[in-house]
Amino acid sequence: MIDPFLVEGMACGEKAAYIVDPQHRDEHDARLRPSAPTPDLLEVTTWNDAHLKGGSFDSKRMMASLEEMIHEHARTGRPPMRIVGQMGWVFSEPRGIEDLVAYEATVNEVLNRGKTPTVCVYDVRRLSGSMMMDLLRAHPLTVMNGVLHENPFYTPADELLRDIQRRRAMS
Amino acid sequence: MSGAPSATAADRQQRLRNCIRDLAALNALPSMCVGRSPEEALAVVLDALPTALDCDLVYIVLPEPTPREGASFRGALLGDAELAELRAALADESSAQGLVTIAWTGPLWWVDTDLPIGTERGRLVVARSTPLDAETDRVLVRSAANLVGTTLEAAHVLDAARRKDEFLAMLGHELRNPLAPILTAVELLARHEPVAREQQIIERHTRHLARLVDDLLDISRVTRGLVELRSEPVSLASVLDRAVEVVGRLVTRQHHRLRVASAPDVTLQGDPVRLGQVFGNLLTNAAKFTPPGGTIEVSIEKLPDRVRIAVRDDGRGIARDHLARIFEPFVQVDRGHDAHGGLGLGLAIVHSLVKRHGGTITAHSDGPGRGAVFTVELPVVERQDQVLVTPQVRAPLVRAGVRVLIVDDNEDLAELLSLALDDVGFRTAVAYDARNALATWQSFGPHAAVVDLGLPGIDGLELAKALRAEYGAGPTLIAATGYGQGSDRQRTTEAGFDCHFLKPVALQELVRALDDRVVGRATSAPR
Repeated sequence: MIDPFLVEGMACGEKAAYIVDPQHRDEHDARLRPSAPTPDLLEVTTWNDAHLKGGSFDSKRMMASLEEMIHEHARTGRPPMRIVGQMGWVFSEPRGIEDLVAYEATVNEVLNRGKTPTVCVYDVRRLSGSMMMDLLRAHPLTVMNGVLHENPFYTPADELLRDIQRRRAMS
Repeated sequence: MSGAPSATAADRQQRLRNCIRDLAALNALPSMCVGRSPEEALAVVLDALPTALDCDLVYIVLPEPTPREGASFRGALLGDAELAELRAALADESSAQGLVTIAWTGPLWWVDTDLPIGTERGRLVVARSTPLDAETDRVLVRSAANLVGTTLEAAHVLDAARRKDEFLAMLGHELRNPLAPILTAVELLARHEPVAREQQIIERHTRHLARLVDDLLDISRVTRGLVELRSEPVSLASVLDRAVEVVGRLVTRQHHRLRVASAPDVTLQGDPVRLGQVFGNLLTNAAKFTPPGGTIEVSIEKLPDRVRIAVRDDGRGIARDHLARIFEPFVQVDRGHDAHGGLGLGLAIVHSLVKRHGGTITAHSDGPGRGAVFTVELPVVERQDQVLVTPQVRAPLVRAGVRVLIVDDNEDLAELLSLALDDVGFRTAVAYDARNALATWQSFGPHAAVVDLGLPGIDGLELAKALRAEYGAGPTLIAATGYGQGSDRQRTTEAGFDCHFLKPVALQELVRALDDRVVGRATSAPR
């Protein structure tokens, strides 16, 4: 499902940015590279160089670098890019992980402004119950078992952030 | 009275909407128990529910057969001591709601309900540190109870299925051990004419038992995703030849007519043994479920990128309600007083193997007494300059002077194998453990050894390493074991074995391996 999403975008001249597990970076690149009409239309990077730059998750830094990446791309005059982020790094519980849901809630605004369709890939089987709930509420669209749904459980960012702050205050 | 609802009422409505939304979201997620043990599923539920129900505490009590309980308070799972305190505080189940105060929670307003788990009843308690709205919270806790009950029951069912699969694998493996010497004895006896009728009966039923055990092992591997398939070009003709060979004796005994269309020059990509198993099973079923004197036909149709093979019989047929489930494991059609019993696994294995080869299989019957047809479609590949395996005519080989050591702690099996190999011209010795094997090696000086891996004390792998260290690459070492996965074969290769045979070892294949690797090379003893 991920590959066709990226390949279709590249076929339309949209740059594909794929953030992956460092252990499988070369494998993903080798598989997708033949579908890139020009080399600059595909960028495969690792989550160590993206979400976990510096060894921890810094939501502000990640948000800023995403925004910069989108602006830089927009300056080329090309169609908006597509981003896919494998999120397996969350299970290593790096420093800053407690800010993940808040980040997921607010990054939608950045992506909406840049008209950048973005897919975050989570293994539901490994998520804790509360993380599962919060992540579900943070994403306006979901793909489950290969089917795209408009997410009726999506909670606007400010409401979700209030909820998170209230729970933190009580615990 | 008119006017807008009070803030409190509006808050209640908003809370109810949010909680129902979140419970529905939990319900819409792929099953929370997939890939999780029952304990892990309980932990996920305890972690998710406080968010969904906007509460401080969730306490779950699960019923027999494995009573279990768990609770989470403000995002943290409770330990044993805290659980005990909570249990005591909530012990009075005569009321569906109440107020408790525990030192580390402060006052908690709680509401509870039955938790349906199959036909049993557990308990779900939800509590908040602010007064509950009785009606709203009762609705929410009842909605939550159904979701929780379904999730936890599913976790138990999946866990039971996994344990059953592991048990079947263990059972199949254990049954193979006594079968091995019986089959070897049967093969040995069959070499001596005339073959008594009793011998034929023993051989037939022993092979039938061996097939049942193989099916049992196969289905447990299939359901656990452990079947490894080779992938090589293989001619359809050779696959069908192998299948016809498997069913030949049954067809003859049943006086059936078997008509197999000439296979076009078609190449498949897959595992030749497993593809042969597919059509062998289909033909065997056709022969079993067709009264004597029936007709079995195999037709072949070449399509643009696939080939369609249909196995048709004019036998007992299949009722419509069985057809829908015919490829499920352990489903057996009504066979009346049929003596050819089975476990209902053959077609499930066939279905899985066909699918693994990128193909499809369908079954059709016009009903009982009207025969059946099983149609398999498989993708074909362009035949490149691959050399397809064809049988070779072998020149007679001289085995006299070739010494083979058999190492197995199953004394019966070791002796039978020794007799069998002696019978075809080898010279053998036996050892029942590794120490004995090393000692015998010095005096006997074998050219090859057949080694059981599961030896007491020093196992077969360690023995192989020791032999290689002492005698180098000269001797041929053949592993005999009940484990045949890729990782098992890798371990035997790394230990220095030249071959890896699954027990019960087929005598013909063992002799062929010895002929290929040892006979002709043996000149003097590698002492």
